[in-house]
Amino acid sequence: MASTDAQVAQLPIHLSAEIKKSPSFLYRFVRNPQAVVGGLIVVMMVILTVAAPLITDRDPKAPVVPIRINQFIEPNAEHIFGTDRLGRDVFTRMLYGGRVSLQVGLAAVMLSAAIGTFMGAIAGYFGGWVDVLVSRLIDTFLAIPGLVLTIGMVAVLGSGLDRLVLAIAISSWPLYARLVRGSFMAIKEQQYVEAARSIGVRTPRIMFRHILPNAVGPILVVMTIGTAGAIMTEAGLSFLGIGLEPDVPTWGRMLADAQDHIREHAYLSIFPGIAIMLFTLGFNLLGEGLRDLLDPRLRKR
Amino acid sequence: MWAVMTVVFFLMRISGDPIDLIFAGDPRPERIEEAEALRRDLGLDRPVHIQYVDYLTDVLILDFGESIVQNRSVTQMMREKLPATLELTITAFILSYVIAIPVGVFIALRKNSGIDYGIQIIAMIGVSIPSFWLGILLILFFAVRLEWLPALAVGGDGIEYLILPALTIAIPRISFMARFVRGTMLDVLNQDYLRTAYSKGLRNRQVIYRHGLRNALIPIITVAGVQLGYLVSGSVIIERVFGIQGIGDMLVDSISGRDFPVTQATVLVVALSIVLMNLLVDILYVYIDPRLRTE
Repeated sequence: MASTDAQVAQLPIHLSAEIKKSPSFLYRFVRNPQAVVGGLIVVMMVILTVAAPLITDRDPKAPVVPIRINQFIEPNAEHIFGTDRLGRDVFTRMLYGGRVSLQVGLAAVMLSAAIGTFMGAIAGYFGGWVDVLVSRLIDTFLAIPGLVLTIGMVAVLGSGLDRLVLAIAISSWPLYARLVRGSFMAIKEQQYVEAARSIGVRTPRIMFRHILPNAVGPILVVMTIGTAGAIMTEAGLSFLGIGLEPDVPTWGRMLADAQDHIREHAYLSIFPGIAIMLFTLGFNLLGEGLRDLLDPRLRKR
Repeated sequence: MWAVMTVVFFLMRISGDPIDLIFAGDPRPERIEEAEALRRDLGLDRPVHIQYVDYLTDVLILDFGESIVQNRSVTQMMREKLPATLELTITAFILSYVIAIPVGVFIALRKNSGIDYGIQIIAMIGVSIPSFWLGILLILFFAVRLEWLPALAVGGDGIEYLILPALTIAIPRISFMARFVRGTMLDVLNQDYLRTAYSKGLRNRQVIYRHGLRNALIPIITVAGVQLGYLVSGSVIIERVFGIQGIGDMLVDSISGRDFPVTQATVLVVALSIVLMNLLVDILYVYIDPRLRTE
């Protein structure tokens, strides 16, 4: 059985998988300026945040200068981004804040992609009333503005990292479901799927071993751009003081705190914003680059 | 619309009892009594299906219940807060279309030129910039540094109080729309009927605006509903930045105050207005695209 499966999987297949396997993918990736710049920004930010404890031995939550009449230190050699209202090192807080953004971004995207892929797969593969039901659900969720829906979900679920991730995932799964549904509807008509079915491969195996790998390209693109969206959502919610506990260092909350001191200490408002922008810009560029690489229709433009 | 109402209802209920959240297991007997009374008032002690029917009828007559925190009817609070948000989002909406369409057409006609790449890069940054930070930067520059405009939108209702918040919400949307308009315009420019129009000897201007843009407008209007959704999302955050007393402000307050009826009503009203907008777009189509009239 295993050998026939392998043979079926190797039958002529959809473009995206072919592109991924062809040796020129890496070459074309390197030639795509969007993908390269985006990729570099993302890698740089990920290294900085993951290696935060190695880069600095300061505590993001504890003051590094005693809180006196003036705990605000303007950026200098020792505190390159300065210190905040509680005398905490802004650079250190930004490194740890980045970890939160990255965690939330990746976890939320993986969870929502998993939910969305599953829902889209069953809708696209089975059709009929399952499809009607899932499609209506997708339309309904898409009708509610993402941020408002996420805020509503946080209200229901409560705050905390895992709940925030769940809230973002619940409000963004329809994007994946819509996409996967379309791919499944197209791919299930392909001959190799019919071949697999005719030799008695079971339905779940057809769906997730034979069809899914060939629908994965566009999902990856949406996931990359979705990570940017999730990071932005986390930052926005933290800015509003929703979703995470107040003592967690996040870029959004740093900006909210900074706005109280915007006239005297404008530097506090600058750096966390740049960080959020770079992170989302990196993922957006990478996603658009990947889309150009994976979608041959757009390549000529 | 019914589907949206149903989903909002069930999403808000899956956490279980909002009363438990408000009182959070407070063991004092008088608090428990208070919780029970509130539960009865809100009808949360009844079976879910009855609650659901009640909820639907209440929404139909625009009765969203009472705020737990403020002891006022949610409908009345809405009436106070809605104008500010509407003013803001509508201004931003008009701003984004008025700027994005000409810019998009302009760069589509100069495809792959330096200025096209330049504007596209700016637009990419505009999409990635967090709106609340953009708002802070605008305050920093126009209000703190130049002192041209007020930093907060409180203390007056002149146009100068609206400029910064509306721009803040509009800029990410302008960035997105300009790229989108460029894309649809390029699609249209490649069509055969445009070549026909040129070969008829029509002037460049006429071809682009009469034949090109009119066809490109259809997908551009299709995304109007989605755009409005993003603008409302933007408004929720931006109202905080500029201290505007709107729906977003109300929503955020209701969450920190655990004011459940207000949260539910706000999410619902926002969702329903987006659905209405989409309905409006569908109707608008028929006027723009004569092909749809015969179907």
